[in-house]
Amino acid sequence: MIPQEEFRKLNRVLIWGKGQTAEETATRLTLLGYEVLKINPDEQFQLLSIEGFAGDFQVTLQQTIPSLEKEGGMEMLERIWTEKFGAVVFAPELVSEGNFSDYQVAPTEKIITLEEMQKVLIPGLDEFHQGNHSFSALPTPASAGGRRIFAALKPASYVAFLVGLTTEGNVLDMAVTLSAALEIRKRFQSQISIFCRQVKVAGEGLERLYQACRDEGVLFFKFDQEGPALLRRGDEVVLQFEDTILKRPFILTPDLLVFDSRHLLSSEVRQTALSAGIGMDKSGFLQSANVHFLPQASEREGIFIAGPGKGPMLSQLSIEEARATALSVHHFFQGLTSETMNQEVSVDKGLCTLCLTCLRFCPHQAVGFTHRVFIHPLACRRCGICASECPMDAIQIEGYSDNEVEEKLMALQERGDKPEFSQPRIVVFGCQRSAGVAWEGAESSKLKAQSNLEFIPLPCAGKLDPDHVLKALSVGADGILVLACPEENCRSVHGNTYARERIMEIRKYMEEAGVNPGRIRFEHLSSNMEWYLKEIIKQFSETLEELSNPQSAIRNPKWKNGPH
Amino acid sequence: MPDPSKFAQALGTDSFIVTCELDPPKGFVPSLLDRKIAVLKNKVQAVVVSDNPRARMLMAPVGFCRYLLDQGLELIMTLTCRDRNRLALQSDLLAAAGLGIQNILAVTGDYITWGDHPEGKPVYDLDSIQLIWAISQLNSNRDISGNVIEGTAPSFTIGSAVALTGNPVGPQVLKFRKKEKAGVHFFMSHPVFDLADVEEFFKQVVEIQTPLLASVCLLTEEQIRGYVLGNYPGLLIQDSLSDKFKSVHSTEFQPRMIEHTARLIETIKKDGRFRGVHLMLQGAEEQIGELI
Amino acid sequence: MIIASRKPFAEIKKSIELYENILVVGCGTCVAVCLAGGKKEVGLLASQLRMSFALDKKKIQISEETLERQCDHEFLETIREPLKEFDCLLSLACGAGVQFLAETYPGKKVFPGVNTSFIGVAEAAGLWTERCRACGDCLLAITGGICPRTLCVKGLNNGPCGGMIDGKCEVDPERPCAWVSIYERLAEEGRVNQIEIMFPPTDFRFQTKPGRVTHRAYLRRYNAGSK
Repeated sequence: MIPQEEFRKLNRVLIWGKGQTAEETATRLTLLGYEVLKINPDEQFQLLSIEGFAGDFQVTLQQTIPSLEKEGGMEMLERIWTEKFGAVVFAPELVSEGNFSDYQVAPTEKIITLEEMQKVLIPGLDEFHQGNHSFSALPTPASAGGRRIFAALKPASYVAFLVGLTTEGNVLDMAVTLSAALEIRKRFQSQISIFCRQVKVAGEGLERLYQACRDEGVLFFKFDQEGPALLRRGDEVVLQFEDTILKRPFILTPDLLVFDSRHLLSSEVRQTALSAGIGMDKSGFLQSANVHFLPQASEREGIFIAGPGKGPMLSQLSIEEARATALSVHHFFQGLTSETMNQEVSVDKGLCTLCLTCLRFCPHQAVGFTHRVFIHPLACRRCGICASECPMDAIQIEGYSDNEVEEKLMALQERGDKPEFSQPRIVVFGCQRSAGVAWEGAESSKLKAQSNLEFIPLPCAGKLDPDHVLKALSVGADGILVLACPEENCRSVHGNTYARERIMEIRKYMEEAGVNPGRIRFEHLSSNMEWYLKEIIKQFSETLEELSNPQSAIRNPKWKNGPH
Repeated sequence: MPDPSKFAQALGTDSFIVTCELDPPKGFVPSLLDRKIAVLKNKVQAVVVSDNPRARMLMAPVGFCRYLLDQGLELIMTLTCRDRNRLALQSDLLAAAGLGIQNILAVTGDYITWGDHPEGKPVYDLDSIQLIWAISQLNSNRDISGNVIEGTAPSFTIGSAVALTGNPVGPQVLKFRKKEKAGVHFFMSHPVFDLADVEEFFKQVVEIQTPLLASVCLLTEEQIRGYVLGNYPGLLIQDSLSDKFKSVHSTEFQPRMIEHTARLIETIKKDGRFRGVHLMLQGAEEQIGELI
Repeated sequence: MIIASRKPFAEIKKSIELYENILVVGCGTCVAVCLAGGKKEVGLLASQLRMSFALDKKKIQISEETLERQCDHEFLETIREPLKEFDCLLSLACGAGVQFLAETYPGKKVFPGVNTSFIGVAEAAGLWTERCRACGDCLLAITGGICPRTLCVKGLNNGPCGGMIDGKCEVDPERPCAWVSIYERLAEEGRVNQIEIMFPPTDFRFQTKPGRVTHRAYLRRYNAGSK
C-alpha cells in the first residue's frame, strides 16, 4: 500500500514485447535516459498482473524454464516475482495461424500459407521486415516442404493467392503477396492470379509494387463479398467463380494455392491484457476502439500500446510507432500529458466512508485506498465519474466542485419569475469535451446570450450528479438538458453510458415527486455540432412550453441548506 | 407401554405394503370425505393423513385422525416442522398418542409461500431430524428438555421422507443416514416416476435396512401441462414423461395416466428394494382400485 | 454491514405531510455505504420533497443535515442547538439510528426514510446480499463458514430439505441450496463428519429481544453488584 501523499515516479520502463517496435522503443528510451527492461512474451515469460498506478506500477512476472531432464521427463521450474516500473509499454507481435478452417480446406502439398511461401522465398525473413520488400537470390530450400514448393514453380504452373477474402484484409499480407507474386513471375515465369477484395497499398512503395505486378502479367480478381468457391475434384482443389462482365463461370485448377493467415494476439498476451484492464477491439487486437486512446494510450495512464499488437502493420509503421511511443512515455514522465492533469482532485477524508464505489467505477483504475480512499494524481484523468457516484459528496474536482455548481443554481433561483429572464428556463449539463466546445463556438454566441439558459460544464458526462439535477429542478428550472459525447467516443470509456443510465434513474425520482419526466432530455453531441446544439435547445424549448407550468409553483418557496 | 401398531407389525413381515395419502378437509366436517374413506378402508394397510400439505391450511391432522380412527382405519399421521414450535409439536404428539395414533411421519414441510397464507410466519423451530429425535425421546418417556412424561410412554412408529432422486446425491445420503441414527422406523420416498432415477442414490447407499416405501404420484393433467422444474415442491418430472403425456387428449388423460402408474407400481413391487408403495392420488383416491 | 434501502417516496411523503419544518437527517456510515441514506441521498430526497410539496401548494420547509452516525450520542448531540427550529425529523439512518435519534430528542416527531433489511456484504457495486441473522450463537465453525440460519430459507440446522432441486432452493430456484453448499465445502476440506451428527435444536434464548451486550471489561461499571 502506498503511503498517503507520496506519489512516486520511477524512471523505469517495462517493454513487454518483441520485434521491431519493442526493440526500437527500448533503444530510444534508453537514449533518453530511462532504465529499460525489455521482456519477451514468449513461452518462458508471462506478465501476471499490473498493480499500482502510473509512475509506480508493481508488475508481477512469471518465468517458466525447463530444468535438466530428469528421470521420467522434463521438470518445469517456475519463479514468480514483482518488479516496479514507472511506465509499461505493451509491444507484442502477432502470431499467425493458417486460415484453413475459414476456407474449409486442409493443408496439402499444393495448399500452403503465405508464411510458408515467405519462408521458402526469403532466406532471411528479417531482411524483409527491415523494409526490404523484395526477395533476394534464392538458394535451394533446405526443407522437404520447401523443395516441393519450388518444384511446383515452373513456367507452366499456375499459382493462385487468396488474400483478404475471409477477414478484413491488411497491408502486410498484401505487401508479402505482391512481392512473392512478382518474384515468382520474374524467376519462374509461372502464371499468377491474386484473388482479393481490396488491394491494400497504403505503404511506401506498394503502389509501385502493384503496378509492377500488373506489368509483369499478374492477374488480379477482386470480389465484393466472398471469394471464389473452393471445390474438391478428387485430389485437386479447384477454384470456381463467376466473371461479372462476361457472366460466365470460371473454373481454375491451380498447381499451388496460397492462403493468407489469420493474425492474432497470442492467448498469453490476451490474458495479460485482460488482467491488466487493457481493452481490446472487436477484432481482438489491442486498444479498445476508442479514438481518444490513439495513438498509444490505454485505459490506464502510464500503460502504452504500440506496434502490431494493434493490428498487422508494415515494418515501416512499426518503427514510427516505436519512435512516437518513446516520445509519449517521455512526455508522461515530464508531466506533459495534458492540461487536465493540473486540475486538483481531492477526497475529503472526513466525509469519505470507504464505500469503495468510486474505486469500482473508475474507468482508469486510478483509485486506491489506505485508511480512506485516495485518487492517484498521475493516474486520474479527471473525468469525475467517482465524484458523481460518491454517496457522501467527498470527491471534488477543481473547476467542477459541488460548491461551484450550487452557486450557479442559487443564482438561477435568485432570478425567480422576474420578466427580464425569459422562459423556459433550461439548465444544460454538458460534457466539456463536446458540448462545452460547441457552446463556446462562434455559432453559439447567440445561445450564450440567451438569458434563459444556464450552462454547467462537466469534465465528462459521467460526472452528471442526480443531486444537482434535482436541485436545479427544485429551484425552478423548467427543463434539464444533458449532453454527452457520441457513443464509443467517451474519453472515459463509459462516462456517456453512465450518464444515460442516470437519466433513467432521475426520471423515476422526478415521477415520484410529481414532475413530468419529459423535462429532462439526453443527447449525444460532438464538439463541432453547434448547429445541432441550437436545434436541440430550440426543440426542447418548444416541448417545455407545451407542458403546463407548475414549475413556477416550485420556484416560489425559498429553500436553504442545513441548519449550519 | 402400548403394543406396536398394526402398521408396525406389517413392517415386520415380508408383505408388500400399500398406503395412501388423504388430505383433511378445509373445514371441520370430516364426513365430507366419507366416500373416499370407504374406498380406502379395505384397500390399503394404512392411510397417511397430511398436515397442511403444500402449506394450505386444512383441519389439523390430530383432529381428523380422531374421526378416521372411529371409522376403523389404520393411520399414519404426518407432522411438519413448518407450523409448530417444539412445544406444540410435542403437545400434538401427546394428543395423538392419547387418541391412539401411533404412526407418525415426520417431515420438514413445504415452505409457507406455496400455500394460501403466504404472508404467515414459518416456524421450523425443529427440523425433521430433530423432530424424529424428539419423537424417539417421547418413546423413552422424556420430552426434549429432559423432563419425565407422566404415565406410560407412547409407542410411536417413526417414519420420515427421503429424496431418492435428489441431485446432488451426497447431501441427501448424509441426511438419510442422520435420520436412521435419529431413530426412523420406516422411510417414504419423494415421488418416484422412473426407477432409473434412483440408481445414483442406491450406488451410495448399497443396502438399506430400514423399510423403504416408494411414493407414487398420480399426476393430474394440469401438472403435466403446466410443469416447469420447481413449480411443484417435491415433484421432479423428467422430460420423457411429460413429453409422452403432453400429447394425450384430455378425455384420454386419466385412464392413460392410471395405466401408466399401475405399471410403475408393478415395477416397484418386482424391484425387491422396496417394502411397499405409498400412493398420492391427489383427489382421485376413489380410483385406487384401478391401480393396485 | 447493515443494508437498507430507501422507502417508497409516497410512503415517506405521507408520513411527514402534516409538519411544516422538516429536517432530513442522513447517516454517514452503513446507509451511506449502501447508497441509501448518505449526504447525496439526503439531497436527492430533500429536492424531491420540496418539489412535490410545492406542486401540492403546501408551504413546507425541508432542510438537510448528515451526521457521521446516528447510533452514538456524541454525534447526535452535535445538532442539539440547530434542531430547535424543527418539529419533524426524517431520518435516513437504519432502524437503530432512527430510534436513538428519537430517544435523544423526545420532543421531536421522528420518521424513518429507509427500510433496514439485513446484515450483509457487497457482492458488486450496488448489489448487497444477506449473510448474517445476528442469532447470537454463531455456528460457522461447524458449517464451514456458510450460515444455514441465514442462507437456508427454512433456516434448518440439519439440511437439506426434500425440496432441493439440482442444488438449488425449493423456494427460490436462483438461489443455491445452503446445505448443498455447506456439504460441498466441507467435503472438499475432508470435514463432512462435522455435519454427520445431528445438530441440536437452536437455543432461542440467545435471540431474546431486545438484545443487550455488555463488554466484559465494563461489566462492573454498568451493574450494581455482580451479573
